[in-house]
Amino acid sequence: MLGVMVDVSDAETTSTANATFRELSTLQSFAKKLLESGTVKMVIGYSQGYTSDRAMPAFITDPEKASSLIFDKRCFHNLTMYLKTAEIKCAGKIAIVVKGCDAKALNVLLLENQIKRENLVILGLVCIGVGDPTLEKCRICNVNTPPIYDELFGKPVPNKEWTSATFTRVKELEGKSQKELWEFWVNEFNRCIKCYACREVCPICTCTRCITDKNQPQWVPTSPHSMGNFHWNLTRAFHLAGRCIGCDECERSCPADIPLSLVNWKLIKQVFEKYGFIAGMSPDDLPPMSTYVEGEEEEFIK
Amino acid sequence: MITINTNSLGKLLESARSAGYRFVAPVRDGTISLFRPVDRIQEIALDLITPVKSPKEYFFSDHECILSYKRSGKSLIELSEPSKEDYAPPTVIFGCRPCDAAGPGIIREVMTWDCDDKFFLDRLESTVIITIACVEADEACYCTSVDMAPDSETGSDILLTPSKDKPGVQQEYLVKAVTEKGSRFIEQTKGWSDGTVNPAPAIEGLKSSMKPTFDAERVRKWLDTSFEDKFWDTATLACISCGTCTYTCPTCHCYDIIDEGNTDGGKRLRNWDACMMELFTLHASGHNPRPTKSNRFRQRLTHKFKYYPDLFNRILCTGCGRCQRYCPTDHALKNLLEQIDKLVSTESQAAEAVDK
Amino acid sequence: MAEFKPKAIAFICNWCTYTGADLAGTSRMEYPADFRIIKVPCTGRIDAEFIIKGFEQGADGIWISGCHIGDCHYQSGNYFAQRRWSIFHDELEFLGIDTRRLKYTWISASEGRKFADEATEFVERLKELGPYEDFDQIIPKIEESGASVGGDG
Repeated sequence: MLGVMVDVSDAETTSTANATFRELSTLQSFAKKLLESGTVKMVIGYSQGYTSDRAMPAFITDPEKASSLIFDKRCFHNLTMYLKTAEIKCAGKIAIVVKGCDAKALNVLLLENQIKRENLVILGLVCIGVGDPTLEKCRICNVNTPPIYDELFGKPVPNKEWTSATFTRVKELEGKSQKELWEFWVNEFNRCIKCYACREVCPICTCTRCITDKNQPQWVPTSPHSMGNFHWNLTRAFHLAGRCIGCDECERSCPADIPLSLVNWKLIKQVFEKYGFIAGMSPDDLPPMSTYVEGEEEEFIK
Repeated sequence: MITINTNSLGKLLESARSAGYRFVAPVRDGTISLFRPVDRIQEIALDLITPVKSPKEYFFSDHECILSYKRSGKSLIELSEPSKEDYAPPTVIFGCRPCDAAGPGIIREVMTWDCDDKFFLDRLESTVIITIACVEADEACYCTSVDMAPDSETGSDILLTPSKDKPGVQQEYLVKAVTEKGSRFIEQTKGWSDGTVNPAPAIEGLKSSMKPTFDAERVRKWLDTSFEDKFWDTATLACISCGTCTYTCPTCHCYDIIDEGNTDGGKRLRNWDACMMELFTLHASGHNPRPTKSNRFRQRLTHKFKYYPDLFNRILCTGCGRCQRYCPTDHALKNLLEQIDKLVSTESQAAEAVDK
Repeated sequence: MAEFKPKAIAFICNWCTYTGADLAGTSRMEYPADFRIIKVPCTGRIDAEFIIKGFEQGADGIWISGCHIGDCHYQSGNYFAQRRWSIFHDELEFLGIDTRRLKYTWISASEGRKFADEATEFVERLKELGPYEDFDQIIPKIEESGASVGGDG
């Protein structure tokens, strides 16, 4: 619900929020040129939302409208999720505006052959954080400069490295007992209304038919009762192991404010600690769940 | 006319509870807000414009058992239906906004249309809706565009109108029994009223400042002829096809019926479903009459602003603004309606110019 | 009071552990019969869904077993399985699942003794832990009307 809570009554705050980002006009004119020359059919970026406090995704096909592109702290959306939609898939070559975290999603999609590189012009933005107050994902961001782009806007800043201190939020919870954790999560998941905004907004959830939507057999109960909610949220998490890039869009979209990012960051932490892997850093790294190292042996298996 | 002030709301809660009612009111839970049974008046959040979830679930539950079976012996199956006492306890929903209060009354049309939905109707009958008129609105609110107002009585049993325009602090409310049920409730639980003075209501300011932003009738006429309009494809690109708007909506009422169980026993459940989801219209054959999100968004808008009014003469929308407030991508009904309205007016201006 | 008889499910691979179980049987080794074996082609086939579904169906414990590392009939199935369980096990723990109710083993076709011993150990462990009450709380009951009258979040 961050989108609702962000208070930007002061227009000046909005325009200077992302202090390093001073190249909006360069971005706008670049997008305009791309559309005018016919290089791309559409530019996906951010524009002013319907209400003054929000930004929204913009799908620009008219070169004259390129000037409506914006970028500021309200632009938390991960636009790469639109690449999985049927409408965009058949739109031909497009340009897409990405922050560092969004660019990680592009790498995962490229790795999994979900998108074609030649159909994409990636407009990378150097981003030092979005949201007000700045989102947690931005505090621990290791991709202020996107890991993949065709054209970079903004002055590159050195990217931070992840350490064990990165995962403080997850660690706080890890300290609890099994009973406490169980009660915490059942209580959180109970609020779920099964709107599936978490799934739809996720750029990595690319299945054309989700396992929840299959009913022969019905693996995941569709009812929003405690069991159905627990099962759904667990399933969603499992399918993101080694793939989740930590954009936290699921948590932002959740109308019930379930701390889904904690579920995801636990996976990210385990994958990082065990296999040294960070999803989305390159389009060539094999994801840890689809590979193995010979001689690897786990102690917990007797 | 009788009044009640903020300090006496506790008395109202107490008398309602001792008369056997469950007292449901808007509360904050962490960062979200919803309607929930409360024991103490301090739990209630009266400063919310609307809670995230509408009180719809107290009439039409997000999941409910409508039939259960159990095997008894080798070949006998026992069927049982939930009892009315369980699913429709006497309830007071306190602190609804007029937009939320109007919801159940509007859905009632379809719930009594081709057959009577007893679960919904029993709950409606056993519930007293006490509404507080609005003194505040945000940019998402648009009740005045859909024939409603910040002090609409539609659907309420009792309407409280604030007499000072400072929400949150001590405040006086004018109490009006709108329905017979409302008067009976006041009779039954009296003792909480603070007098019978007649202070001036404080909502005129909001009423006059909230101008309609589109003409619903004009939109309806456009919908008659625009099923295949290219507007739908471009205007719905930002939609992500989730169920947030439908599940928080006070008037969306589509459901799915599923069976959960095994050979020993199980349940038939009615769960909320949403026209925004791809699976909603998927046929067993594999064919989907509404395969794209533009088809699905068109359905939602047209259902609310054309099909429903055509059938029941009421817009299936109360202007609460939740679809706008909670949409992950800021893509909502109101904005499309405004775009359509603008489209119609430019089209008609162009047509006039040609005529001249 | 009657002794608690745990319900355990064993997802085991066709090539090694199942054959090991067979050996334990033909060698007339004794082990408790409190678990149901579900044979899968390979441990790589075991989806996390199986574990959750097992608990949903009322299991008190779940045992997963396959070929030793390097012995997979399909060469690499258990390598993938190992990584998957490793991450999933941590995640299940994080989400409050009682991981003492999960058991992972590698048992080869010749290890009938190991199969019988591990089976005994698991059933004993579950008997000590008792019924999985935490999970049982979220399983909808037929006896209850289940009609949520709103407000359950």
